[in-house]
Amino acid sequence: MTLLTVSKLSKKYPNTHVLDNISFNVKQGEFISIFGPNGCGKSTLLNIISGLDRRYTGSVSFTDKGIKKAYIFQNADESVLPWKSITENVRLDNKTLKTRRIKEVLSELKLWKFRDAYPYQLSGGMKQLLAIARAFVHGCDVLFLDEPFSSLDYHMASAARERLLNLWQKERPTVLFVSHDIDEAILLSDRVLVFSNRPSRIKQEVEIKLPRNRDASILSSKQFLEYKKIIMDCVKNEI
Amino acid sequence: MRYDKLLQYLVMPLSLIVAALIIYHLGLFNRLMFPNPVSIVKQFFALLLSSEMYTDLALTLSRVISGTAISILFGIPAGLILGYFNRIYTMFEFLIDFFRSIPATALFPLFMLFFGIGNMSKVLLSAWIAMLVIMVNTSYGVRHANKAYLKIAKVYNTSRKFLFMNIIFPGALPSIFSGLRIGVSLVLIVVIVSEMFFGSVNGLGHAILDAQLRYQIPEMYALIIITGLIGYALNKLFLSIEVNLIHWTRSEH
Repeated sequence: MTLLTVSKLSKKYPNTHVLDNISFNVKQGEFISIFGPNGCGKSTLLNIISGLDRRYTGSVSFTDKGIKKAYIFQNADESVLPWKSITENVRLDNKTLKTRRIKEVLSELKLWKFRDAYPYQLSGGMKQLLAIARAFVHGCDVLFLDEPFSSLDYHMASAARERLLNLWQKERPTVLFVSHDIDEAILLSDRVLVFSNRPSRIKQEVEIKLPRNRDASILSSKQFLEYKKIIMDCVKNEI
Repeated sequence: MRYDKLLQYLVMPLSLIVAALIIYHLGLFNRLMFPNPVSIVKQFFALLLSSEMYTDLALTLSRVISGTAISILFGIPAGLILGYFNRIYTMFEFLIDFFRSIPATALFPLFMLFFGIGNMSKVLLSAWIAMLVIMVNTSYGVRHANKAYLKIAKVYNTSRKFLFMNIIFPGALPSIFSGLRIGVSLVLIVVIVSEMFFGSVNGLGHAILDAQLRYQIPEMYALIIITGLIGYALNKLFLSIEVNLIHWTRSEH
């Protein structure tokens, strides 16, 4: 079932043409990565789709008006409330959320043992996972993740990515994930949309048919490397 | 505390004392104006044993505490309202800026006219001045709430009460506390000055002026030092409440 249709979307600032005629659709339960160079307008696209930016041409439409959306941005410190404990950060003011459910999601992300800690006692990756946990617990239908792990070092980013992957594979909400890391995009996604430099167009849509459930061991498989080559070839003349 | 750290703390106060001793013994100033530091220290300890000083101290402190309490009681709620409702802020902006520009001392006669020469005028004037500062700082903290945190409230559709009490208010706390620390210093200044004013018969401010009028200059210096220590202690008190309450910014200090 199609959940989101983007068609002929363009975005221009006075002096720059950011997005040029972008069309794609997203099926329910799909994990889609938007892969492209820095400054190609990935975040702009996410802002438009999530409704934060309304100045564009073309159309963005969700099949169901009532879907719950969640956003997780690049800056880990802005994803969580520093004066609230981990469980308070997940729950916010929703008293109907079951503690069992909070425990389930936090445990999957390996955050349960920090449930009474405060965000400043967590690493950047854990803060992003905390924001992700909040979206899962609140039953959001679509998650917009804008390079959530891009500011982390390799080890932290890999650990965070793998925990997200495990949780997502269990629950399968729809995810739109912006990334500039090829490995990350392939590992996580069902489909990778490869963007060109500005004005950005979708150069190629690569369907990732690696078996689910995946884990990090797949990163060195032959199939994985083939996908990586396809995408690298696609962006080669952009560099 | 490590030994060298302690030394770093003490080196300047100790040099000040040594410098004062040197200046005194060289006779660089009139010795009436600049008495022997040793006599100031002696006087300081004598005052610590005098019940009169404690009466004055207690009166000054009770005025400072009342003034501070009143300024907090009105300043924080008023600041929260001003910060939250843009329209109210715009309506009051000019008035607040105008009142803030009137020096406290210019208002003494007015407050004496309304509230007499007793405690009331001293407490209320100090509270008024501090309230303006606390109010402005509080409203600043509310108006400059982190946009990202507000977005969390919007995305998860939290109640207005939660947005205000759990997102905006805690975010404004650092700014509120800087207002409180400036406010309490202003309260002390206004109380001490008003105690020197015509008709005052007690309080540390009165004692300082009285010592000067009686040419008890070492006593005057010792009382000034005591007043300074009170100001220092009040500031430290608010700082320690702040650090304990706003625990999430501690790692940034």
